[in-house]
Amino acid sequence: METQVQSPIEGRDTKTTGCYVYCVVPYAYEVCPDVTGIEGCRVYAIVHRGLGAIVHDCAAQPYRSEDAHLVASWVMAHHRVVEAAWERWGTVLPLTFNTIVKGADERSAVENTRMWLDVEHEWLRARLSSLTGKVEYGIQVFWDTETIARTVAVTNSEVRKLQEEIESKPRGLAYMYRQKLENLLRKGLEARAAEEFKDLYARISRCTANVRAEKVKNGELGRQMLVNLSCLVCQDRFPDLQAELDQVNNTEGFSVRLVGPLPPYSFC
Amino acid sequence: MAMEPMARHRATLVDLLDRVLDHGVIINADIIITLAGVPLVGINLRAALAGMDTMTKYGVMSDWDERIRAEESGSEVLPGHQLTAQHAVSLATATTAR
Amino acid sequence: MILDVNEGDLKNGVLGLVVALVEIVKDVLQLQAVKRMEGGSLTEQEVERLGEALMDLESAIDKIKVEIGITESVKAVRDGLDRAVDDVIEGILNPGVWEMAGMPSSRGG
Repeated sequence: METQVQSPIEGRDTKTTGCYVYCVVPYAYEVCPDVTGIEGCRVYAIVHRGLGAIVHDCAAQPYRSEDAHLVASWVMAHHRVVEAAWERWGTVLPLTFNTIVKGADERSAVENTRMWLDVEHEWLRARLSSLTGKVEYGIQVFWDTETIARTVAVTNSEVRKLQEEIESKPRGLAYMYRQKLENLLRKGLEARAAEEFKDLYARISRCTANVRAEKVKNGELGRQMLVNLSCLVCQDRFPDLQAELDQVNNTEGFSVRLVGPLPPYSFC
Repeated sequence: MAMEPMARHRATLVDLLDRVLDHGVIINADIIITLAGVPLVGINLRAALAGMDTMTKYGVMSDWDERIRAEESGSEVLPGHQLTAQHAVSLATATTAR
Repeated sequence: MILDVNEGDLKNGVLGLVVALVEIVKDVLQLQAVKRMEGGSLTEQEVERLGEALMDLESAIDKIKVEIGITESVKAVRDGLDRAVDDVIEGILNPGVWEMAGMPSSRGG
């Protein structure tokens, strides 16, 4: 059982140091990529029985701040390390932000990390193996509210009837009917959105290994986010997914935003 | 409308926020320092982060690179990493607790 | 309509807040009016009167916004309120989120 540690820091007090763990990789004979981590820390690998934990040494406390720019730099740095490991080893098991192994009285953080790799060896191997050859993509589908509203207005008979009635009504009544029309349109849009979501979800599920629905983000001018998914895709099935998304993107009133490929953060 | 192939966008900060902060493996073990299930980023900070201009990987890092290079080399602990007395106490209780 | 505008108030955006609230109340009134109309409890005359009153209110609000130039400010207040509502709902669904609201920072920037 070969254990390698390329730690740049020697002889530190075990209680005050921790190991910030970015991800786990299937480590054979590769060299850890030359990438800097959070706050410029030197990234290295703790290897045990063919698994590598990609880490940096830090104080034994979590990274927390109210400074948005600082937190943003941490997030980007974390992602950069995970991505570099992913590029080097092809498969990676990302850990959530702020996973810090601490040292105790008898054992240093490095030793605790090594021990964790040992204890969880089977589970880690299984997870890595299930992720091999797969990548994550973010898929967001938007629709142009006006275009779709017009389609709903045209196809919904109740809406059409109201529109006709409004023309002949006096001012005040017309106003009230217009409010009713808006409500109807809104309900129609909601129903259509639900239909589209189900359809899109089904089509995307058919060409992916796994799909996860994320929260829909608001606030886009003129267009509304219908679908926000994280997908785990087998690389050889990506062309199928791309074909489906092309189709959606070329449908009138719809647009697709595809982000990736990404390391499989959402499918660990 | 012309058939356009789907473009694959690079991840922006907003794309990475939820993934890096909330997704990924979570280890529940007493060797891990955690905030006991409390998420790192509060609502206001998350809103601020989401509202920031799109940061390219290199845009953010170039500012930070300059900052780091300007600091003294050779110092073991970067500013902000110091353990406060409060944290030392909570660490001690965490280590002995089961 | 002549309004006595205090420069200090303007700066504080109080007017934006006030008009935003008036707008929200108008929206609620509108909703209630439509509900009653659909419920069939109003005569056509009553619906006509309600409609006219709401229309006048709406155009008065729009006029004020344009005259004082607070259209953006009002929108900002309403967007902020919408976000606050979303946050409350999120907080109810995920209670852990609220604990971070007042936490002091332990790493400086």
